[in-house]
Amino acid sequence: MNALPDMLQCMSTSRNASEMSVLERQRARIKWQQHEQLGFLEGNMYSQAEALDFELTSNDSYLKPDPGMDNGWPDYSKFLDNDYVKINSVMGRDSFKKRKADKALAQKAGEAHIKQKMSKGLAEEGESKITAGQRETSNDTSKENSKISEVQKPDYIHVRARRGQATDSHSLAERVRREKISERMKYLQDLVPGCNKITGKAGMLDEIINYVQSLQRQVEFLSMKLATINSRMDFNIDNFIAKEMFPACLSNFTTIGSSSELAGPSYPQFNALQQAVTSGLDLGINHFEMTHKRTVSAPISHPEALVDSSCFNTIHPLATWDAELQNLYNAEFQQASSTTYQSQPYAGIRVILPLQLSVDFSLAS
Amino acid sequence: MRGPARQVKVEFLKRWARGLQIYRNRKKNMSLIETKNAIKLSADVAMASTKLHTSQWSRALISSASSSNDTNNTVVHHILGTDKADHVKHYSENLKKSSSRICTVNSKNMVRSKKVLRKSCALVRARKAGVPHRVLAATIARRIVKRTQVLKSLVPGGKSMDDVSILKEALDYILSLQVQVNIMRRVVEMSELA
Repeated sequence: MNALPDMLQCMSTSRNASEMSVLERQRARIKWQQHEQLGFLEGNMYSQAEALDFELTSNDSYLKPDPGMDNGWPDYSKFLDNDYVKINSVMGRDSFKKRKADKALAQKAGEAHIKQKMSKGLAEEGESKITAGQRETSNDTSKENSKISEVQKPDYIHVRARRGQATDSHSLAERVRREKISERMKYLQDLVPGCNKITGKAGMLDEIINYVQSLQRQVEFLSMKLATINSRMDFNIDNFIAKEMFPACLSNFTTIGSSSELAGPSYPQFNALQQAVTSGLDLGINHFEMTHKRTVSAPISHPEALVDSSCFNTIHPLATWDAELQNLYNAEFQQASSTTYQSQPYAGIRVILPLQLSVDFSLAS
Repeated sequence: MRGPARQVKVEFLKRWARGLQIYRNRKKNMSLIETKNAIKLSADVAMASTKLHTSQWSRALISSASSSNDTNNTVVHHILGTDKADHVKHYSENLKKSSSRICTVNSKNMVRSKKVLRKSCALVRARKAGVPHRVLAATIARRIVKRTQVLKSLVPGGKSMDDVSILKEALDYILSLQVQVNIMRRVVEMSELA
């Protein structure tokens, strides 16, 4: 009697022991799995699947893996949610910027969406695919980010939308274009005389058009004058040679020519007709000089204003003037010796010249 | 700043002298207008040839000059040198293609611009009656468009440019025109004095 209960007890204990050993083994396993879950969040799906298996086999251990499940699922979902939010934010940030990148990104994001849905729906499908998908999506987003940053780098440097300004690509491009135009208008404003006081693009364009037209007319008029002065064009060449031989004389000639009220009386060999011509020219030259003085008075002077030394030379001291005059006399004599015979046949033409001048200037101004 | 501008001037003078020499050798009896045109064309081409690589207007000017006349073509060739002239010829062919395209576009625009003109006249009339600010802005914008078209017609080759590049080319063109006017004036003064 004693033996049987003992036996039974023994058996029961042995059975209990065996059961306990099984339970303990399973509990240890669950604990290890929990550790694993806490350690490697990504690798929790496999252990969860095993835990589900264990759930089915033993009722006692139901309570044990449950916290593990609780730990595992929210973490995983949080992870997913974070990723989703990240992707969404990336999408939101970039959707304004570049269309192409945006399209690609939207595609990738859509793919990621689908994968997440799949992973949520079929949780026991195994983690490897999902992690791979996550890696893919993360890689894609990082790639997309790098691409976008590469594409947008020049835009970021030059264009920056201020508060309240539109940020889509059309507005940015339009803003860049307008900035370029206004910059060039500023340069033109410095270049074109009399454009400083005018505000507004239409007025400035008016001034620019007028200036270009006046310059073109001047070229026309000057070539006409050259044609009337020497109909055979050999005189020009002589002058060019003289200029290339004496490059210093070039500036002297122009200064005295432009301020011929100083130079005019100092030439005894000039006849009255020539003086009339030069005085007739003076109208035009003074007109040019005025424009050039205005360009000099502009804040940013272009190279021509500096090279054109007519304004600069008027401030010259008298000593240098004398030296320049002497230079001029020398050059004058050299040229006069070669070209005295030419002055007579052109006398007839020079009578016509002032008339044409006046006509041309009434057209020009 | 004095150096490069001076170099441009010397270059221009040399090229102009070359162009004038051709005319001197070629024709003995020319009328006044012919002489004037020859001087002007050689000066223009010489100025454009100094800026050939940096600007579009110079190429347009040279191509139009070389396509107009046979003697002009030889002048252009002589001033530029043959290889460059061929280069410009290629450009001019491209330009012709593009200009033909533009002509068709322009013919479309002409119809529209008439409408725009009528509308703008109506707007001007409306402005006198006192109209909101938005409408005034529209008229100003239209004026700007018109002025830009005029500027495009003034700068050589400007019809095939957009709004941003036309301003750049206009800058360049104005600078070189200033140089040209300057030098021609000096030459005139020198020949007046002599």
